[in-house]
Amino acid sequence: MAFVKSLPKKALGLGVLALIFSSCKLPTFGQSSGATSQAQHENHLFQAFVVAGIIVGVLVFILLIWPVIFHRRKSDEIPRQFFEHIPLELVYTIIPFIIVIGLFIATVLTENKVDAVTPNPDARVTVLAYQWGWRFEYPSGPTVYSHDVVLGQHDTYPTMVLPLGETTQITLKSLDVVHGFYVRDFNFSRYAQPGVTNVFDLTTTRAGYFIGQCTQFCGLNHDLMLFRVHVVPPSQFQQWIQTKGASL
Amino acid sequence: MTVTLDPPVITEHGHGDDHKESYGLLKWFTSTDHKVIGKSYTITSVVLFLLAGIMALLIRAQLSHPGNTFLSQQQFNEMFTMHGSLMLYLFAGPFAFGGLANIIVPLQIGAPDMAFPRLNALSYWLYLGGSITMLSGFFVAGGAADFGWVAYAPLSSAVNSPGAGPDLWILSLVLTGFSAIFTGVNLVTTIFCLRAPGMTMFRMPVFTWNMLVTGILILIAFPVLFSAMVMLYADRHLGTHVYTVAGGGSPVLWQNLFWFFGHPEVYILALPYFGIVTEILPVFSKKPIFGYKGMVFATISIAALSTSVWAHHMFTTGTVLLPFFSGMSYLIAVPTGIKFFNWIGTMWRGQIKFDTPMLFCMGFLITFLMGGITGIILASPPLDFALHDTYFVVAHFHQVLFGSAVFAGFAGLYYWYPKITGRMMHEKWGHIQFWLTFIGVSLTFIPQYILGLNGMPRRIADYAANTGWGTLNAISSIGAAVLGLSMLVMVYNFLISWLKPIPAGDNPWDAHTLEWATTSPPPHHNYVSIPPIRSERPTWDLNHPEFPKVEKTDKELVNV
Amino acid sequence: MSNTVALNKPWHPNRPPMLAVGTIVWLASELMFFSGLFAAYFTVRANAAGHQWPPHGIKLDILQSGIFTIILLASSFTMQKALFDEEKGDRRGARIWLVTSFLMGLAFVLNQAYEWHSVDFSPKTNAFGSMFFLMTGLHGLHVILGLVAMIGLYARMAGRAGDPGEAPVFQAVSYYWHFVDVVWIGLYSALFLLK
Repeated sequence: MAFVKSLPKKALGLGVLALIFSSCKLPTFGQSSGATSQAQHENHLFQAFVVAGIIVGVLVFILLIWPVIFHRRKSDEIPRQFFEHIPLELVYTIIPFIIVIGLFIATVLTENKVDAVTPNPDARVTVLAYQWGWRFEYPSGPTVYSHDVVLGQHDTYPTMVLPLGETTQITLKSLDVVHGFYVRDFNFSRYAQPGVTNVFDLTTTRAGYFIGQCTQFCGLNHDLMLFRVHVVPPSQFQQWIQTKGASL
Repeated sequence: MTVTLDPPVITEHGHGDDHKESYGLLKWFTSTDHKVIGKSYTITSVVLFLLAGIMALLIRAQLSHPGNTFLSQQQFNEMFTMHGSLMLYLFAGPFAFGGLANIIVPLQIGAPDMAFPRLNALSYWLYLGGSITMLSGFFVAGGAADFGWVAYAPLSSAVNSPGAGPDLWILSLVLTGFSAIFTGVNLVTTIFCLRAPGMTMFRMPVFTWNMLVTGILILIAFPVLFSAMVMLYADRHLGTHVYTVAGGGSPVLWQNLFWFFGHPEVYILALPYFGIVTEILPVFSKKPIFGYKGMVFATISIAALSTSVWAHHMFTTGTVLLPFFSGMSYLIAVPTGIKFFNWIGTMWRGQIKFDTPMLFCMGFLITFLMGGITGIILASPPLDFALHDTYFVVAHFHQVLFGSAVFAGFAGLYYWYPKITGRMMHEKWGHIQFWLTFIGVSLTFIPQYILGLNGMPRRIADYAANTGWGTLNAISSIGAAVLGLSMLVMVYNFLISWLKPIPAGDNPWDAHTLEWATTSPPPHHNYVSIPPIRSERPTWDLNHPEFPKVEKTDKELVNV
Repeated sequence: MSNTVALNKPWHPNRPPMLAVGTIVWLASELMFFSGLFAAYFTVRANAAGHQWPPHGIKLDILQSGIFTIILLASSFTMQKALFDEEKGDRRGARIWLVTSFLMGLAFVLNQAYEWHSVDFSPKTNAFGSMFFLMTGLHGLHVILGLVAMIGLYARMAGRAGDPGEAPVFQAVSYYWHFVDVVWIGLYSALFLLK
């Protein structure tokens, strides 16, 4: 039983190590490394959670498999009947509690960064979701909306243009039912809802095209609510605004 | 050792003085015996499970490769809506609290029947009626409900989802909601009032404890769903403005009410199955439950916490207090962890025998472990922003629910089948079914985590080939086919047990709890004699008097 | 310890009757049902345009419904009196007070019907109207159910004296009636008094 007792302590130690290592080079664990600064913060948190999850998961799995392998029935002898071990039970109540507090603190710190809204964004876009398409409205600029989207043909998707390295504030609304604004490389989604206006910031860090899609089921053509994001250098963005979408 | 007693006559519960039993079909229709009603519930819910499973196979067939036209978008939307509704409302809950609990709880506490046998029968018929109502949606103009099992407003409004299908869906939930509430009342009252002499609260089997807490959760959660449904129906047909922005209502209100039901519902679907696992592990390890009281307190704290975490389904709405709901969600990991370690402690240094029920329990532990850890990830709002409504979530809740309702559910079915019928299930086919199920479930859902991380949203009927999601979807669909095969094996196993009975005897597993002290199947009103109850495992005490659990006093027993 | 545990007599004589326990457990679920309605009501209120509450153009007769509120609450006391008489064995007194409670409940429902008829808004007017009709309607349905239960109870009392099931049923109906009355206090405060 000494082995069991020492395990949770090791788990805690490894958990702390995981949080330290999370700032170092780690794989993205299947997620995008992030094309916005918010997305990068999110991915760091994800890495920490995955590492902690793997450590806890593997430890529990070993504990689970151990008796399966080593305590199989060998005879009809009745094993020692023990009912409880209060100190041990307290240990595995308190240690998960501490781990959870650690995860909570890490969550709140990242959440504050991801959810932060600047009073002076470099650009603004109003995104309107409807059955079954998107409308991107730029103040004193063009309005882009969906028409004739063909699954898989990216140039038929409505395109939201964003300036590279600058903070764009998105104002998200819905014209009918609940939709989900989601861009995989931004590691981010937010509902577009009737009666609710959601505001969030995107600070792009990478130029290029990124595919977005509606994630909240919204009726018949839910799977065709696709769009793409085009991140371009600020000068090109300004030109695009001034020419009302003619350039690019 | 056992004390022979007169058959119990309970004047309070109505049919105690009427011992005449009907036979055949008439028995099935008129019975108020908890064992007959429980069997009806079990069979009905398993049939609905298989139907919902066929729907899942159709969904997986459609998604097996990009550009598939096997199902139209409309058919696909109806399929996943009905798959979810059948599994969550009509299978996982009723199978546990209407089926197994109905049969087992009175046996485990030494009661002759449920507290209100006729109410119990009413519950079943409401449930059957509600189930037929929901399925009948497929046969009306416009088809079945197609707004997902969550029916988010305003997609579920009369404008966006016209037709009779959605109305039948609402009506079905009203009927089955009544059924669930009546069962909850019955379970709680039975456990409070009908325990046998000596069966104190802290000697009740953990399954019964979990059913008590589940019953209380039903009473907390289902009425709120009920009021939400009444208002939805009024919005659809009486022109009220509860969920419409236009008249000053609030669509987000639906989500709040729904998930205030929906999250406790998740634990209504999990706690009974935790209870089943807690019954089986000690029996097949030849050891007592490790940390019985810890187990009970963990159950109670999970239930208490489950009423204040609903908005973790709504992190991306931008309308909820993120730190509170994420913090409360994390806290659930603590009691769940206690349960896990207690289960490990129960097996530790035991004499573990891997009969089919035990194998299914291992399937539960491994699958649920994965689902639990990914659940912690989803409880973090920033991570949920990235993963919400993707296949990551689909994989997470399928591992959790499949782990509990299917793995642990089948464990319970295999475990109590000898008690219920007096026959054994076939061990060899049981093992084959387990391995097929385990391989199938892993193959189906583990690739879906990666699909979610790669950005595949849930509930889409089709996707483009250039998304690169094809291979993983194909693997997932193959896994689903393996799962389908495993269900055929189960049906075959039931058939051969029916046609070539293997007699079970009263206590084939050398089990611990009271229900194994009566005959298999138990007589009408369950017990001719009840062994003395001095610990939480009276049947073990009876069979292994050389390993007593030392109890300080027998005061409770003497005073009765 | 004694080796013969008699199962053929009530196992726990000091426990409350099973029907009473069942009724209270069921009323707990009823409480949650009304909680759902209250949650909806307060959400609608929090969303109200310009924080004007009740919304513009909604007029309710607080005094008249207040009088009938008092009548409904008083019927709780008469119902309790009926139960005490029943428990004392005074079945005549119990019957008189039961009828009194029934009439008071009936008066409340009739006033509710009159009120529905006389207010100058409908469920379609706005969310307040919706919640007003839904909440008073669903509560009214509960009152009517209570009245039906009272009729059933009265019919049962007409039978032979000493029916052992009568007292627990009486108790259950009175618990239900108290519950319906207490919920109305919340409804009246929220719908009529809250500004």
